[in-house]
Amino acid sequence: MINLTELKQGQKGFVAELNTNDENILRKLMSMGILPGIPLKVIQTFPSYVFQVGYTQVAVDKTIASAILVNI
Amino acid sequence: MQKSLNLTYDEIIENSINEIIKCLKAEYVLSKRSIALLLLQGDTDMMESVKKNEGSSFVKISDIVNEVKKHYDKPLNYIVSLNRQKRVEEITDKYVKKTDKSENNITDLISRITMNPITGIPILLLVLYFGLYKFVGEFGAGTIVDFLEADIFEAYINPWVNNLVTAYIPWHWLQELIAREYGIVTLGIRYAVAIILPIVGTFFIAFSIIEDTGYLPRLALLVDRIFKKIGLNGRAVIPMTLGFGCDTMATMVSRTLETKRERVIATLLLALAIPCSAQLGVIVALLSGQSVALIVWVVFVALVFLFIGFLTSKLMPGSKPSFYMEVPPLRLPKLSNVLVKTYTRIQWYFVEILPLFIVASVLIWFGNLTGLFDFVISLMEPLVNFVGLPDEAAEAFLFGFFRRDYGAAGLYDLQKAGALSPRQLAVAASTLTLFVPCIAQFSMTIKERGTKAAIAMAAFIFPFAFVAGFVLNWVLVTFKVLP
Repeated sequence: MINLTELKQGQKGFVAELNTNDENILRKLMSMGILPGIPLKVIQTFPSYVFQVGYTQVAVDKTIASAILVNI
Repeated sequence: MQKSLNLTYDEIIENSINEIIKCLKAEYVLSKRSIALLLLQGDTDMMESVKKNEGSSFVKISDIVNEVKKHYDKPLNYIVSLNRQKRVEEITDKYVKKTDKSENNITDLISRITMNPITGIPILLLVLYFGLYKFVGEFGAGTIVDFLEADIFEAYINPWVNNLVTAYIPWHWLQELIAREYGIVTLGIRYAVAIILPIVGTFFIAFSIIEDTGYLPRLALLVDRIFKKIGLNGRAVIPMTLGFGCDTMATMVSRTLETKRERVIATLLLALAIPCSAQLGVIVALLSGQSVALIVWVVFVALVFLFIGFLTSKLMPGSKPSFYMEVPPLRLPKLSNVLVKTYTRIQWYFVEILPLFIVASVLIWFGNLTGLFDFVISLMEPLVNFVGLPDEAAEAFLFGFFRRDYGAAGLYDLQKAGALSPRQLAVAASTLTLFVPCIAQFSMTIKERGTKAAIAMAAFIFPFAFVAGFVLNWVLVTFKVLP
């Protein structure tokens, strides 16, 4: 289980856990359908983190990206 | 009868749901189970409603919810969502079949090059060049404005209205109010229809097309890092780009930003350093023959934008912004959607802005008639001299308060008369860009941010614009950048 920010472009995995107690961040992630078990693929890591999660593409900054733990 | 999907949570949550249901006595539109679940998830609207309807037993409900919270290390919202997600997966696993498309299709490629900074920034410049400069600047503010101004208003409507008032209205003051140099028809309506409508119209067309392709979220993720430095996040790119069309509308749209801090910073930057399309159109025309002056103006205003944003983000308390955004697939815009959006925006613009045009021309008429303007202009002359401009520029600045573009248009007349050197043009254009927002934007700022904040912003912007102009002039003179 590793942090999303450690993944490289093109790497795939599954969301393992949302590692934050910040309700704001949790709410944002959940509203975009980012929840444990969902397949994920990193599209780009700079200047923002962009990844495919389920059927949507999502862009987040580093703070939010580091709340996502991934099983590869 | 609709069949509902039943989802059972763990024992703790299920028990608490039953307990909450027992406390709910009033009648609700939703089922009591749904209400209990919303309460557990901390839904603020539902809490308000239950507090109002249940009175004293609300305390008991809160106790139940708090008791449940203790059992989990994550917010209940998350726990509930996890359960639902699991159930959804069970269903989709059973009934949804996904066939893998080839991943390297053309849309994917275009999508990727718009998001990569190395290719994305040149693409952004192309979008700005063709969308803003060529289409809005040259076609809207050039071709169409010239046609409506010279071939319609100045050739037919203005002479006709002038003759009409001279022939039928015996009072000089009323003639001046309706027609001639500052009349409601000959100045107010002419400005609205012949100058602003084509510029804002072409901008809204360009903006709607860009919006519908799904380009804006990609732009947002490209600029997020820079925007963080000025206390905003990538999302703010939407009100900011809209500001290049109409700052008043952008100020209204800035309410979509998440925190109050971001909204204040965005409003300030919109008022200070984002020129609206009407102003852009005239300034680009003003500086068109002077490429160095044009570059000086762009660089200077961009620097002020970043510098003031940076400073405000350092000085203003509040939590740091965070950025998250869904990136929709790139699509070809649908013509009907673009037209409907452009139409509703222009309609909004006319309903909100046209009355202000008329008010502005009435004020200008009043100011001229009473000699009040001459007095204010004489007060402003030392200020414009301070930034190295001739006395005549004072009038342009005063008009700039009524409409940002009135001011720029005033400078245009000075430039045509050959009264300004390239350096003075660059300084005048920069100072005028920074100078107070137009009346419409100012009243929108009051509406959105409150009177106190609006006045504080104006009190900062007014002296700052002139000090910045002075510094720019000094730098240009000292380093002999422009003659």
